[in-house]
Amino acid sequence: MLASAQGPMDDRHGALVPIFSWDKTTRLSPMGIISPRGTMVEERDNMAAHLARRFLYMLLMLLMASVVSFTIISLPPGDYLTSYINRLKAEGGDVGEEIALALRRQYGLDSPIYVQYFKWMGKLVRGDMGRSFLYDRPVSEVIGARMGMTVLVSTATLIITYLIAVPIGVYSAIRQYSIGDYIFTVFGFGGVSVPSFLVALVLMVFAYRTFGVSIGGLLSLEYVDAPWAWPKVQDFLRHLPIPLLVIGLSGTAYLVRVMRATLLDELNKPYVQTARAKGLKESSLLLKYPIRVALNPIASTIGWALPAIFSGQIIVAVVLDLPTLGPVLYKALMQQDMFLASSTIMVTTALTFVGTLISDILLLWLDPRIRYA
Amino acid sequence: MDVRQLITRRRFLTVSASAAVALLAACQQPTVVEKIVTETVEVAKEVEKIVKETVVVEKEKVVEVAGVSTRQAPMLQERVKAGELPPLEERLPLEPLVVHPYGEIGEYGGTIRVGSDGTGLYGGDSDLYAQPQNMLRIKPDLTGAVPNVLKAWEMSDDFTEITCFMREGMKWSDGEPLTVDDVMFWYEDILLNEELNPVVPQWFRPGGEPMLCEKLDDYTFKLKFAIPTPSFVMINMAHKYGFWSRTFEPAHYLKQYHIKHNPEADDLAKDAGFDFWHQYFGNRSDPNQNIDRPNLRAMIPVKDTPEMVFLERNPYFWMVDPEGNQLPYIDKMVHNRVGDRSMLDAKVVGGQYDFCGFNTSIENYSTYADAAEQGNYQILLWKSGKGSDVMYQFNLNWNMEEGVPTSEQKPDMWREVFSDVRFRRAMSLAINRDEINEVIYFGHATPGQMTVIPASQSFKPEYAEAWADYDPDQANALLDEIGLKWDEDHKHRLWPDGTPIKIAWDIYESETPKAPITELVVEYWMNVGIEVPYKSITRDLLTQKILANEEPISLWHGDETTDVLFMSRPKFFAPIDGDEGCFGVLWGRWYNTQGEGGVEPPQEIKDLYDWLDKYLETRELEWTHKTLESQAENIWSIGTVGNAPHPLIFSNDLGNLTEDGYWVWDSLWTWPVFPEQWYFKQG
Repeated sequence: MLASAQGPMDDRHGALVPIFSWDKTTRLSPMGIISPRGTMVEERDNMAAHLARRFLYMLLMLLMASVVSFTIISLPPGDYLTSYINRLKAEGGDVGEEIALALRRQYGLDSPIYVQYFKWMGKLVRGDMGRSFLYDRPVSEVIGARMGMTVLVSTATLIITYLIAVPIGVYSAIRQYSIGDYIFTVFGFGGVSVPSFLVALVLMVFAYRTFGVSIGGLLSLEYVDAPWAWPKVQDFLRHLPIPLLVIGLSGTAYLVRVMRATLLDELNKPYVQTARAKGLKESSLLLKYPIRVALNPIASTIGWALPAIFSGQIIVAVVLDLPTLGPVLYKALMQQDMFLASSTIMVTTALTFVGTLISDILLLWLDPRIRYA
Repeated sequence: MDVRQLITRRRFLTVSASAAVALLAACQQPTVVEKIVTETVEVAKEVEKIVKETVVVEKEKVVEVAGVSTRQAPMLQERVKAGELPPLEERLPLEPLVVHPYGEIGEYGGTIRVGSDGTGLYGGDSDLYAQPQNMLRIKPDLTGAVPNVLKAWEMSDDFTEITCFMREGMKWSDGEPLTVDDVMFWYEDILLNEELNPVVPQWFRPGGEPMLCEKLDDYTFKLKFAIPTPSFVMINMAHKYGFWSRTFEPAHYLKQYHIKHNPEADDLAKDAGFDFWHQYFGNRSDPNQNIDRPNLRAMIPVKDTPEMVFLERNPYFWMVDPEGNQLPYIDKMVHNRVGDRSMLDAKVVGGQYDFCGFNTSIENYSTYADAAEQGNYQILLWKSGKGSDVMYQFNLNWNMEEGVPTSEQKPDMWREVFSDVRFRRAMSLAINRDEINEVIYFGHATPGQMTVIPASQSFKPEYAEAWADYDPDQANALLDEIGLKWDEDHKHRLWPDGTPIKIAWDIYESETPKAPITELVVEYWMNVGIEVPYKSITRDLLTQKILANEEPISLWHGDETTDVLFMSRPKFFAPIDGDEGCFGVLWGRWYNTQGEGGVEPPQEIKDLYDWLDKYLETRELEWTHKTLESQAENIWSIGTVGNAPHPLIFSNDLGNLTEDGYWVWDSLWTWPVFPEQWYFKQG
């Protein structure tokens, strides 16, 4: 089958929705972008310039983000020491001004805020994220210890979200106003609007009452230190569904809505009708053209998943007591642990930038309209 | 002090000893039973001067299996057999502390599960099972001290010297001996080191001079004070004031991080990512952060993960039961760190903790009770040990200028009303304490004025009854008398300038049910025409506002009202310079800075400080009574209900518990009841 034979892909028809040609000779290559117009080299040069420019902007943005986050964290009255002393007091102690002074000195909080910022920045560019007051250990260690679980939970959620959302969205679009569509619509609006921490609480109580799954965490207390043998894996798998369901819920519901809406837009476009008129089988037609186009919004948001994978869902993680990075960031912010909070935010910000960049590249790769714009 | 205490103490020992004997008889084993001689010597010269307890465990017939004493946990027997540990006799001090269990001789084994929202190795309830070990311990009735790490102490007749006797042969958790050198290291190289302690904390400089610490021999040291300091025993030795749970520091371990003993300490610190040696030293010496630091607790941390700390019994623990079995009975502890405090309640209800007290609240009692069966736990109600669970103070320093004596301050409308004793009495009379008791505490607390707890030696019923009836008519009459007129709708009373009385203030919620009680109090006060809308804010913010004298009203829970800490510092009965009350922050500052800062108070308030100082120097009840009379007369603090119950959660499998405890900072919560003798009933 020749590319030119398939109307919408042919530039000469001026169609707005060009699709890559799918015959074997011009298959899309991950190494570069092959287009009927430019050469690969030309494209790559453009791309490199574009990327370099983006990278520079990113650095600038990061610098700004660092100042903003550091300033905002130190804006509330007091500093980590005020929080710390108050915590000591909450446990009943009496900490006088003198002790506070000595502590402030020991923690290096006696210098003005900009000095603290430059100290932290100086270390950060050398890859040292500073020391967490709260955990009294290097920030990298605090983050590192929680990275495994965080990435595991977030990635699993992400995959499940896409696996569920995309088929449902497609179904809802092609069977618009069917009973199934209504059911999923109700589910979708519910998922978007009900706060996920509430769902978390309800599910947790339900799981405890019915299945005896211990409340909170990803493992029962007795398995936390056990080697990863079968019983521990079982215990882990028993705990996993709730976080996956809860964290995935709003994302899934949202994606279903997006998928349905964009696909509905595409379904009525002339190229679909043309393809249908040419006698293409409905299922392969859908898969080959409109669905692929409808994936655009999803590709453009995939980059956001990166920071989310890193920090996890904060409130849900707190409610479910997950050993991920979310609760750490929450605590750091509450107690003004500046270096931990700022460094975590910096990493999240950096990942957001990288994620956006990835999204853009993905879009360029997916959609020539953007490439030529 | 009096004979009553001694009798109580003797009876306590006798009763528990006979219980132990009865138990021994009940479970007579065919094997040899160790012979124990317990000899309690108490010299009632002048009480609190000498309390000496000598216990000799005769080792003539040590119970042994294959050469290993069975008076220790099986897990330790294994390690002794394998040659990893020296035998029990070498690990215990010559005179171990003998603890008489509340119920029976326990069984070894089990893991106690606790949780906290902290980030350290110990925290919340884990700290309360494996308590940091102070020199002395607080008596269960909170009226005195008993030996702990020190086997005895002796206060000189003029209250300026305390001789302390340590236990020979006592060891750190790494097996190194604990001697006076550890105390001297703390005194010379930590307390007096200017880099670690720029200023000696006031607890260690009574009369303005840093106290002296002198080594007499390897196991005896002497503390000397510039002025009589009888209060040091209770406040700093039995309680942890000033020491911050760091009463003893392991010199053998910490010297390597100290610049005086290791000139390369700064390099060590830089390698570890710190700027100065004193920062690294602070980290290394903190038992809460450094897993390698030897300590004296019952449980020592062995593994630290983000969500869990694993602790194991300290093989060198220096307490035994009356049969000579080494404590603790429990083998291990897991300390579960949760992301948020509210998670702890959920996990309690899910039966995931064997012990929880630090974050439980009486408001959730019925929730705990509903889930008790499925969660396999019981709820014990301890006394809150607070003169008043929530008490209110009006700011008598409102709108004052710092540095100007009280008598020369510019007049202020609000301050004049707050300072009028009739106003404070009216506010107290307007509160329906019985209703608070019924609504919040199911009738289990005691309505009354803010004062000391009934178990205190200074307690008198009239202090608790002063202006504590519910009498809105009298309250209205008093307010009319002051001249606070009603507005036209008879809703608000009016300030002298004709504006409606509406006083906005802030609270911080913790420990006791502050918001629910305040909700009621706001309503009661509204009924007599005084509107006091409040907002709940963070403690950080509240601290700032109170210290800046920006709160017209404040509240707190009335702790430091037991004989342990009552009048150990200005707090609710003499104005404090802190965030726990706004009765007279600027006066408190004047007192704290010896007259350099703050506002010079009137004679009436100076008297309060004077009595406090005198009590600290003499410990004579004359001064506590004067103070309490002043409170009953002037209602500096307006109390609501006191002696309230606090719910504690214990697994049904735990034994040797008591219902007779005080859950309060004064008692250090579980400190008087020896949690080391809790045990898991097997099978």
